Amino acid sequence: MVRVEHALYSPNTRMAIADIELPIEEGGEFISFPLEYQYPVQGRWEEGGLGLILQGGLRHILTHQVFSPDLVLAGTQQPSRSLFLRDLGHPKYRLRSPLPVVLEVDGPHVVAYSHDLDMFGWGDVEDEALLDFKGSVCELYEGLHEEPAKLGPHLERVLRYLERVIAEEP
Amino acid sequence: MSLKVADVDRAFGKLQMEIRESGDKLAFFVYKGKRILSTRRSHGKGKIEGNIPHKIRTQLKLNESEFRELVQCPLDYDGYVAILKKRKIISGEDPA
Repeated sequence: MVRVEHALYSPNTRMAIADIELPIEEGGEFISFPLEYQYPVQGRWEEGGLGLILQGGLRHILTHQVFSPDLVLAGTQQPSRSLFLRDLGHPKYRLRSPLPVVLEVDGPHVVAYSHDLDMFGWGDVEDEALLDFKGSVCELYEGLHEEPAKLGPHLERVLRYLERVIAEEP
Repeated sequence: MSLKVADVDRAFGKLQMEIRESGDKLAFFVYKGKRILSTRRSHGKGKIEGNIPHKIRTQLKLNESEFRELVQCPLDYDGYVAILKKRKIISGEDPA
């Protein structure tokens, strides 16, 4: 059994992203949004809901299911576009590899969101949102890096991810 | 969903969220000396609108009713710890 906590669907791109809860083991508790279980999914509207097809390694667990339309949050059907950040705008840090970010127009704001990090920034315009996002990522990296031994499992995973993508300038 | 910044700040206060001295964008939830989760703090003093409350909620690993309880007050620190334990974000015996 797989449970979808929420799903975001863009009718423009016909793509969806869902946070998925998977049972850790047979009969076990559900685990909620650990980093490695956040998978982008492809989706298309079907009668009665959103059909989700997982990409990658989870295909054997969830190949095709239809979820009720109320999983798609009101207000999420906003114009959005994806881009790859190539820098963090910080003299001390550079990105080893581009960081995927989704820009969403969200009411009066623009939100820059990283699904991999579950991190976001926002502002009145795109540049402001990206600047805010970059600042958040740098602050998160510094916050996690200062005392790595004092991190719970979730933030340990986030730090490992950040250490893969961020390099410190000499 | 729309929230007042003051309500979110009060909720973070209930959870004893830690703010780094050198930064103001993030808050960390700390349990027994370990940083368990991080979430974004809000700008300004007005309202948080659109999907931003939803994104804060998912960073806190809460469902909608739990988040509502957190903002409206019934959910306290111990209740939040119990939810994180149920979801295996915090294990029963750790952190030491």
